[in-house]
Amino acid sequence: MSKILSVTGLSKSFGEHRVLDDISFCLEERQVLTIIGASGCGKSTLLRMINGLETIDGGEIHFDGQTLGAHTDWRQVRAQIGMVFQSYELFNHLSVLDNVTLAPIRVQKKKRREAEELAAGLLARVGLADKVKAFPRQLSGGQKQRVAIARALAMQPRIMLFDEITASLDPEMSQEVCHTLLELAETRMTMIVVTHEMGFAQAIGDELIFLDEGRIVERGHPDDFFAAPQTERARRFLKRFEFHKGDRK
Amino acid sequence: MSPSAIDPTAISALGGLDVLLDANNLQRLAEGLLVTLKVAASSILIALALGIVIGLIALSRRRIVQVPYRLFLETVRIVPQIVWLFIVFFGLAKLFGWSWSGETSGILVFGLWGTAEMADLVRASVSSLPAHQTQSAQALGLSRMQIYRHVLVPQALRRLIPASINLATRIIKTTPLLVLITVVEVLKVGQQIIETRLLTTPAAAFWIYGFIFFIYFAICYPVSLSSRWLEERWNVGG
Repeated sequence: MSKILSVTGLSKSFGEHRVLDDISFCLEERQVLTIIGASGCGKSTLLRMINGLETIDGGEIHFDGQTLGAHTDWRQVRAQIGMVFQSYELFNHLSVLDNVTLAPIRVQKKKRREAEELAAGLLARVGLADKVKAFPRQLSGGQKQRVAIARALAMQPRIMLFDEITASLDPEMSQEVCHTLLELAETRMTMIVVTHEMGFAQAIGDELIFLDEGRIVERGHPDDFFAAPQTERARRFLKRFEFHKGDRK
Repeated sequence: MSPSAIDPTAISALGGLDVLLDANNLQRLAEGLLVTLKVAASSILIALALGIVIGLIALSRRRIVQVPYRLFLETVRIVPQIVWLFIVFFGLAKLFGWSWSGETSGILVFGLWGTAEMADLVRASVSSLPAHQTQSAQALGLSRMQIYRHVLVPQALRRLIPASINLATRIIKTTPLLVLITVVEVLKVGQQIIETRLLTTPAAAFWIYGFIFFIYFAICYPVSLSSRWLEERWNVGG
């Protein structure tokens, strides 16, 4: 396996507030890395920095042999790093198919027919073959999010970044999106998944990073982490997801 | 119906109708209407084209853009249209010797007024789109120009249909101000016709003004309808 992404000593501050502090990790091809942590721990900022949506204050990100920074041609990098956000922002004036073909046609200069064939295949893969002609406002939240996944995949990226993509969905829809991601992981897509769904984090990840207050507190195989967290902070974090009869006072 | 059954006021009202139906008068009204339409249509076209361009430029936060933009917007808005018509028609002629026809002055004033209003509508509409629209497009590798062209502008323009159609009807309804700078448009023609018959057929005023009322309605109503039609057509996608 070869390293496709490596992050070393990454830090980021918003004003006085240090969001990320000395973050280092590697991502190998075909690997799925999950990042968990309390909200506001810097998970989203980390993903956004990899995609150039936030500037890098300190440390380095290497992607496929190049160092990312102020002089990077971000358009060319973003075309290879797909990203899906929490708020499923489809382009509302375009049909589902046109949402997916826009970037391949405009950025990669693919022929419309070729792009549409690719898009139709991807939409079928996320279970939306019958929604090709629909418009975003006719879709449910879960369906929109799956279109957003297909839209990012249409660029045939080397890595996919998922930023809490189930956070604003109700449980049922969240589940269908999680399954889409699990299927994607089966195809050995390289990806980083930021999530707050613990069961899903364990099921999808090859490796897991637990972030707290902008630092990596624990890392390891998800099964080991959930079975026996090594640090007090991780134990406290996981406790929050447990509920017992006695909790009701 | 025998003539004896018609009551005297009705006679005088109907008596005005022949003034309206006079072929010569109808032709003059039509000519006046053409002037109104020419000025209104030219102004609206200028307002749409320039307004969209300037509105998009005004999205830049740089001072070199914002200062002249604000200045243009405020001066056009603060000063009443009639004052602008006087400034352009009489003022510029006096100061610089530029003597434009009333129609040209009208197109210039209404065109620039519409441009300012349209530009601000476009600017507000684009900047009110969620930031995530831009970020999603950025994350796909689209360039700034492509994001505007394929993502932001089409969505902003769709949202703008009702407001810009409203602006168009406002421009149409403001054209009678041209009377004050010697332009003989439909309303002025009507007044002239009424004046020639003031003593013989006072009721002509009712028919002529009634007819002009109908003409304005006949122009503005389809414009409003087209707004509803466009909105419905783009409803699914908007």
